[in-house]
Amino acid sequence: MKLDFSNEKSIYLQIAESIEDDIVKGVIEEETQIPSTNQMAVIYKINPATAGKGINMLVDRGILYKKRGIGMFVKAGARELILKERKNSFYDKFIVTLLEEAKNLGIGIDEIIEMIKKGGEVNE
Amino acid sequence: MNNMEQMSSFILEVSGLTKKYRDVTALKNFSVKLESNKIYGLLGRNGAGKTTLLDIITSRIFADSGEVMVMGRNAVENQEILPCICYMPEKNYFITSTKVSEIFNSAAMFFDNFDMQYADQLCDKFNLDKRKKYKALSRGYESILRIIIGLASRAPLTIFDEPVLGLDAAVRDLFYRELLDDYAKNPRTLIISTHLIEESADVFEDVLIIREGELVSQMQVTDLREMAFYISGRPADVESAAAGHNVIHDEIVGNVRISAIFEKLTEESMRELKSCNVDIAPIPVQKLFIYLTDSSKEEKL
Amino acid sequence: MKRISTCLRFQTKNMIISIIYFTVIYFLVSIGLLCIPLLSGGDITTNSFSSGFIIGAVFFAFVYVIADYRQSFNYLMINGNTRKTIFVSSSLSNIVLSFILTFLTFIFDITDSLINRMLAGDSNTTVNLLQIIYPGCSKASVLLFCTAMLIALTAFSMLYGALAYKFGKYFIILFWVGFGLVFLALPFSAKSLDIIKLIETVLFIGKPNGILLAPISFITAAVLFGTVTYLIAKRQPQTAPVQ
Repeated sequence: MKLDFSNEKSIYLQIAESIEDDIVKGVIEEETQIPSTNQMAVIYKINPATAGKGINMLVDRGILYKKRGIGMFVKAGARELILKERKNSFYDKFIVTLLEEAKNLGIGIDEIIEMIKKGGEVNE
Repeated sequence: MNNMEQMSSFILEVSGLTKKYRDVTALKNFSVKLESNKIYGLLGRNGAGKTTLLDIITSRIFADSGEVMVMGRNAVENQEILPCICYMPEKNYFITSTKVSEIFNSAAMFFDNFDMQYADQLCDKFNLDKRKKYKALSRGYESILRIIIGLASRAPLTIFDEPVLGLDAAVRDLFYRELLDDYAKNPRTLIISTHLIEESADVFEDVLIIREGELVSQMQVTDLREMAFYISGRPADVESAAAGHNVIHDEIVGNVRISAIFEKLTEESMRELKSCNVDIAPIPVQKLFIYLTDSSKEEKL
Repeated sequence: MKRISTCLRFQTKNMIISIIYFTVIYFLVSIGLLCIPLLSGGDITTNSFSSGFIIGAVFFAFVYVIADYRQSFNYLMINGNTRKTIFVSSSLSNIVLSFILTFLTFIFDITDSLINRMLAGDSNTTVNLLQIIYPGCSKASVLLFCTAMLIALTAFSMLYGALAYKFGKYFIILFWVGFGLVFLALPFSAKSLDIIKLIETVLFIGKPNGILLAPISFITAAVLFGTVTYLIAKRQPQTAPVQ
């Protein structure tokens, strides 16, 4: 995972997001441990509190949980949860932007649907 | 010392510090409170008063008025408190004819928590020859020596003034990693004064921004980044979008107006802004710092 | 208390190294000077070791304390010591310095006796300046006098050091110009006899057991110098080294 310090998104949000990505991709499995905030701090050259902010956010959302004296673990069912959340925000994140850009370029709805169909074929 | 730490939740409390030099006021009624076990960044332009503040906190110079409390006790010329503070200033006060190893030995004599083994490890990592005399060190290695002493002292309050002067990018990188690593293993309060904001901002937990002798801002670095963004577009659009927000910088490039906003926006305000006909982009920390410390600005942020 | 002793340990260690250098060089130079009459077959008695040494020690102490002041002050500050601690430790190390130098004078006096006995068969030909000023005084009282004198001298050097740190080259120039003027003008002025009388009074010259009373004046002077030094030093902001 690489942090983009010039990105609009805060560092701790990037950390949270990339942990989620890894969970979705299966790189980090459920009920396994993730690196501690101190380890992340040294690897990414950021303050442990910043790393902790991202972790805590994921704990609040039920994606991670803390095992006393050991560390942070991925909660069972986290992957499902993440996929559900992302599906919900898919519309806001991609569709709205897509429609806006299409409007700017003067691309009509039908044309968009055609493009999606075309893209779908290529993806298969 | 632990009892004293529990007495006050702030490791450092500075109130009403004022320091004048002839016709220049270096510090104006400066007050700040620092919590323990955090890494603080002290940011400010040259001549803003960073070094003056640090010199006063550590009893190197005296303020005209004001108080300095460390661990709940008055810190000025207090022999019980001073050994808890390791201050590595920018200027050299070491005896130039002494060897690095002798300087370490002295530090071990005077700082109770000094870890000689750790100092030796750092010497290896940073490639510092302990047998060399101080006067034989290049500018870069002078900085490295100060870094090693500061880190190895493990003092409850450790202060660095411009620690990475004269160091190349690779060594600076090593410093930040070592700092974070040892801070994680041995939590303590660190204050780092620097003008290299871009690379060091995320190492800090909180930053203190000082401008012309006053504390302009004290906040978490994460908040700092989230609160700052450019809006750009047609001048009229930008003006209406920016209305009612804290604009810290404004410029017009051709037909495009760019305004810098520094404000904690609610989700709603943010959505509102996004719906205006303007582009929103992050502000690089370096630029943000310049805007915040611009001496022509009047308001406190 | 613990802090003062740590500072004292540090300052004493540095001091001893310098004293060793000084003593060794002095010893070699004296041996060398001794060899000259030895080789030319002239008269060989010597008291150059002890009385010469105390004079050399006076210069050494004066210069050492002045030269050491700035760097000790700065270095001890960096290591988390208050001005009060530094002052007390420095004063104590001056006293230690005085004792060590006097002790070495005593050692050299024995050396004198030994050499005289070897060369001239007679160990009692040494004539000490102080024994002339205070007739009939004992060797022990001479040592007491020297110690007290050195304490006063080093206290003065420390005051000089504090003033030089505070005022820089302005003070230094002023001091030496003033010193030079006094040194040159005094022999010619009408006041010179008064001054000599003053010195005689303060040092109890001509009084019975004068040599035992003179240390009182020295210690009083040392306390005075020390007080002024402390008043200057306790509010002294740290400044960058001259180099």
